[in-house]
Amino acid sequence: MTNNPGASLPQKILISPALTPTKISGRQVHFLFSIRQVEDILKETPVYPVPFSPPHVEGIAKWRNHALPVISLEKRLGLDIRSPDAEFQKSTRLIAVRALDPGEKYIMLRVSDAIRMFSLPISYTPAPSVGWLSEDSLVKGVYEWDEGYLLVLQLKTEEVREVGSGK
Amino acid sequence: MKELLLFQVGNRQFGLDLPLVRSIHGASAFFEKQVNDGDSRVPMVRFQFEDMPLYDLSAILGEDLCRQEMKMGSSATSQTQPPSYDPENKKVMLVSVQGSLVALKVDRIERVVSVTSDQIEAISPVFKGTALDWFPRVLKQEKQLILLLNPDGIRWDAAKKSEADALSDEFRELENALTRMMREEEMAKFVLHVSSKILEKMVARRIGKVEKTLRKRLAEEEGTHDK
Repeated sequence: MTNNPGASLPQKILISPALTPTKISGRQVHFLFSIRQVEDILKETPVYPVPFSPPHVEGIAKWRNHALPVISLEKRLGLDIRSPDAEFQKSTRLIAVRALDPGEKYIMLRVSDAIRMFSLPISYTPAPSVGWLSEDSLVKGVYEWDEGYLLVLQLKTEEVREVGSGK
Repeated sequence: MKELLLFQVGNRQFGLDLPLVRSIHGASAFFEKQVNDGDSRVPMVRFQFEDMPLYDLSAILGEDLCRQEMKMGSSATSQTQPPSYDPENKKVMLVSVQGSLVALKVDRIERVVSVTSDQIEAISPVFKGTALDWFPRVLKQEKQLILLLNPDGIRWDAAKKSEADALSDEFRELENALTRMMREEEMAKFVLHVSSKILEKMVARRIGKVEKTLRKRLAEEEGTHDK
């Protein structure tokens, strides 16, 4: 018996294919989020651009009476991004993610609508070479799994804001 | 309660603390007068015998917002066609910034709203630089978010840019003068010589610091052994 019934539940993760047309060695890049990180998945939420913001920051969006920054992970990591057309917003979602900052802080990430939930464990191995990805403090780990590459991110405000070399 | 003045630039609404606004005029009441001081990149206007910088927000923000909307397809602000404003109807707000006046040209003055402090939120630190200088706060309304302009940030940002431009101008002048005085090869040698001298000094300074720290540690350790 355990005092914490939730402890026996399998941990769940969300995996979203990156919005990049580029495949690395013919394999798709994905982002991995723990289900605890993700507070909400929103469809067609208005984003208000902020003048003079860096290319990877789309703007701000309203979520639970807060104005959260909306980030493009692909642009932040220097990956190509599908050219935005009229369908772009419809085929994407915004996810409100808890940032790893002191205090409760959130950011919004634009992800593919093909975001899926998995129960752990899933089969993955550390990627042997990540030369295609510039060294970046935002990336905590790169793994290979059945469907391509998995990027695990360190979502801190400081890391999200900074654009590393080669971007 | 706090009063904000809402205004329009392109198809976007922005806000400004009402107490900062001294007066609002038709844009045609102003004539631009270029002056030859250090900040000549910003046109100056004369109004009632006073010269002040004029920031044409329709041009400055309009261009940037267009670029931003293009980069992300459609957005909250581009659901409808941007309204076309008659240039004759544009307005200039005279805004007080640390005791001096700044003129801000906008497409339209909307209205004054009274808001509570919990409706205003500081913008995320994910934003930085000019974005944060110009728009450090946002007004949360039921149906939309409105960026609040910080005129002080505009002045500060302009001063920073002007300083950076002046510095690069100085370097360019120095480079031109050196190019006139020396051949390319000689100049390369000269730059290398000066750089190596500077590097030497920096390294010597660092080594000096390390040496000092080591000596201090050794002295401390010796003192401990003596006891």
